[in-house]
Amino acid sequence: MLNYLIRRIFTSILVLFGVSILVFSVIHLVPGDVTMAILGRQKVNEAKVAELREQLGLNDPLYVQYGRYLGKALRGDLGVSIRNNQSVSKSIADQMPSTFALAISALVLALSIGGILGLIAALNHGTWFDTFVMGLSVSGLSIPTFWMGLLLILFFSVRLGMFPSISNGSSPAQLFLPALTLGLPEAAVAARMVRASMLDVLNKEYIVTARAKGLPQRLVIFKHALRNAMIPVVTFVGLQMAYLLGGATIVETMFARQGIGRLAVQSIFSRDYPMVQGVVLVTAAIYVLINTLTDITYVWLNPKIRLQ
Amino acid sequence: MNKTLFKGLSAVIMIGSLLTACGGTAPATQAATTDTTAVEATEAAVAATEAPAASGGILTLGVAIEPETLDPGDGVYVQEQFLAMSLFDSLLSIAPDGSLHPGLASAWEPNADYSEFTFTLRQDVTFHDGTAFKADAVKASFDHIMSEAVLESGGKSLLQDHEYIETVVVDDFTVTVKFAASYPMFLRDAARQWLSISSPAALEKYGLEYGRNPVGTGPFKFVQWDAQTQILLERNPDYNWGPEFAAHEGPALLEQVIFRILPEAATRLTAFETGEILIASEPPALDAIAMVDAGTASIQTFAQPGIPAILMINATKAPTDDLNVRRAMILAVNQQELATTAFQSLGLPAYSVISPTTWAYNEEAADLYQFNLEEAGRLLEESGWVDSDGDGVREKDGEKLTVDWPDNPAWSEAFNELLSGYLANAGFDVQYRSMDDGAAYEELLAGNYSLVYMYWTRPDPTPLRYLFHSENTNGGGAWTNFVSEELDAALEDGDTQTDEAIRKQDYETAQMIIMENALALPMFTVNTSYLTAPSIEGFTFDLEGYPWLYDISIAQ
Repeated sequence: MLNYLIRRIFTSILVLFGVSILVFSVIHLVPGDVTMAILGRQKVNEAKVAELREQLGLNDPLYVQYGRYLGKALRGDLGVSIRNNQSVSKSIADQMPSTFALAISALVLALSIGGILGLIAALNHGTWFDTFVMGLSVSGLSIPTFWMGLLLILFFSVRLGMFPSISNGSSPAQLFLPALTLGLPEAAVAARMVRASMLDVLNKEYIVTARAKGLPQRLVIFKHALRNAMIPVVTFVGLQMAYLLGGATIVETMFARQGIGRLAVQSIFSRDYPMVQGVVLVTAAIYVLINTLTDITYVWLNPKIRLQ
Repeated sequence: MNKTLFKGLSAVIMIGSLLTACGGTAPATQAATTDTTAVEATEAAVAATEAPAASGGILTLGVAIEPETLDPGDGVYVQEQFLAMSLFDSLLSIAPDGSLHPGLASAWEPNADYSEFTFTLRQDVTFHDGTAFKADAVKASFDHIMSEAVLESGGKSLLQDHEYIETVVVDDFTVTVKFAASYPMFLRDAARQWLSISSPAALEKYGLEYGRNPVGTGPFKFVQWDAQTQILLERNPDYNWGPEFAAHEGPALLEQVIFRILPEAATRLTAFETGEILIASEPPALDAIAMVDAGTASIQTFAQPGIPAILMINATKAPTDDLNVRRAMILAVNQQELATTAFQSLGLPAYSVISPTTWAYNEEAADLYQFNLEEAGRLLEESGWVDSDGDGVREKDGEKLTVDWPDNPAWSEAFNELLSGYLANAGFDVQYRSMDDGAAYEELLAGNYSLVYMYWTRPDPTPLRYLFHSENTNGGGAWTNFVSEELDAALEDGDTQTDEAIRKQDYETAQMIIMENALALPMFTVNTSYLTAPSIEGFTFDLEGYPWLYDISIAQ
């Protein structure tokens, strides 16, 4: 177990290292010069450009720039935004809670909607309802987030006036539409997984035994079947969390919500090198961290994997 | 192990695709010129639409771009100028008709050559932090702009270009601002947001963080800035020094103003429809017109003064080094039709290098070219450009009549194609190359262009010097590379001449020379437009096209 743990953490660090190199080079390979983005087109004189390049350390060789960046990053210093002079670490920390609130509520919505629909579909296996839920889940998976978001806004905000079309903060009313937009594709996946898993479990012998014992249907389903059927779904949750953080980019932009995804988009548009590097590095770190934790939990739960 | 690596790899790919997906379609998030362009606040925003308070209420405005700073001296872009208007006052103020009025200074006196200006200040003004406004604030604000803390800003270019020397505190309520060069425009510039006055105590207290903690004397106080979301201002109850041309006296009518940052035009429009915002900046024209027709909104537009949207023409690179070719380009474009097609009834055509709302606009220069495709063809033929192979593009000595246009599309690509269409009708082959700002700029520096897109909002025609004086050729901003002593002389004299009538003449001459030599293809006048809810009262624009929030109220 310890051996596996060390190996797993080592590969995670390696991946993060790779990410940092990639992010660092991609932004430097883009045509154009960052000093132009800062100074604008008007009356830029050579001396000023040179001075700014020096100030930003852009004259050093790339590996020196990278080394300096990595050294600081390890100490939690991700630099200063060249757009508004704010600390990158602080900007990211300010935006994080909003994104987490969105991702977690999306996950909760996805599991509730997907779980309930999947369960009912499994219990009514082969009926029109089952077919309907499966059809719905295919649509849920196929409709792009930005389109789904527009439809939801049109219906819930413009028509019904129930929820705000622009969202901010973490109150349920503010979170509902963005979370639904982000969570629906996940709900579709969850519905399919719960249904499949439930059907599998319902055919198991211990369920037959439970029924034979004369247990009421409610107890059979909720106490025996559902619990076991949820195991694969829970694993799926960990992995989805990372995808939800990525998907937040579109949803945050669409609802003009605060958040790390929007920060990424804005900094890319304004060529805010340090901010882009910081956001991507932190997002990647979270992604890797969640994946690592999921893997470790999985191994801990299932000793069969440990032997491989 | 393999599974882990795969996951790691997919993380890398996901991030990579995020970067490329976003990098490819970067719109012009900011205007290209230097000069232009929680309190559970969401609950407040909702409250604004539900129950406006007795006196004026809470106004939530949807704006497209988040400011980078709220330090007026450090500001570069329009969104910063707009906010500075509410938070700060300047030494003087300009009425929408262009006339100068007292601001923080009650009287002013330039010296004979307009290089020194003495201001007598009001004695009843306090900053939002409670400190009294005195002469040292003027000195501190201007010195701050010139300090290392400000790298490049609207205010800095104003002071620097006119060789600011110092501000001398004569007594508590008298200051003299000194320049090494004659600067007749200073009085008008002193009324602009870029040179508004900050609290010296706050400048010192916050240092580099001042841009996030602005303290002025304006009708609204800064309360809070939630990055990427909103900026909250509240009424300054002590405000009693509004400009004399305002519709009311005393404090502002609105209790609070929330600048909600909504970069997507569609989001702004939806939020406006649902009543979450009461004013939306830059709405999509078609939707805005539909709402106005339906009676659910009003649209307020303002033709910005200064340089309209033009294409500067490179006069040193073939084929546009030929005057006939340049003239033909202008003649080939039907500006009226172009503006209407592109911006519906909100579009205004431009016929000269400054817009009609600008001081010293020369109508004669604007009348030089009337859309005339035949005349354009005749001029091109005169210079030997004929379409010999019948492909619609003219040739001469085996060379096609190709004009090169590298640009980061500030407007939609559809607009650029529309424009290229007009030129194609006259036999031009327009090579429009879409790229980001930095790359486009490098093309310009390398001389690889025939056309350069430009616009510059400013109440006077002074940007003409940056764009057309030969001192700025070769990468300084005068992308036409056109050299004329006569033009240079007119622009220089316009900058320094103290007799206003002569100065006006200088700029009229300059416009004439530029248009006679066809150095720029005028396209349309840049409009600012705002969609306002029926409950909004007292909406007016200042001279540069920013809504004047001080007089706005919300009807019950």
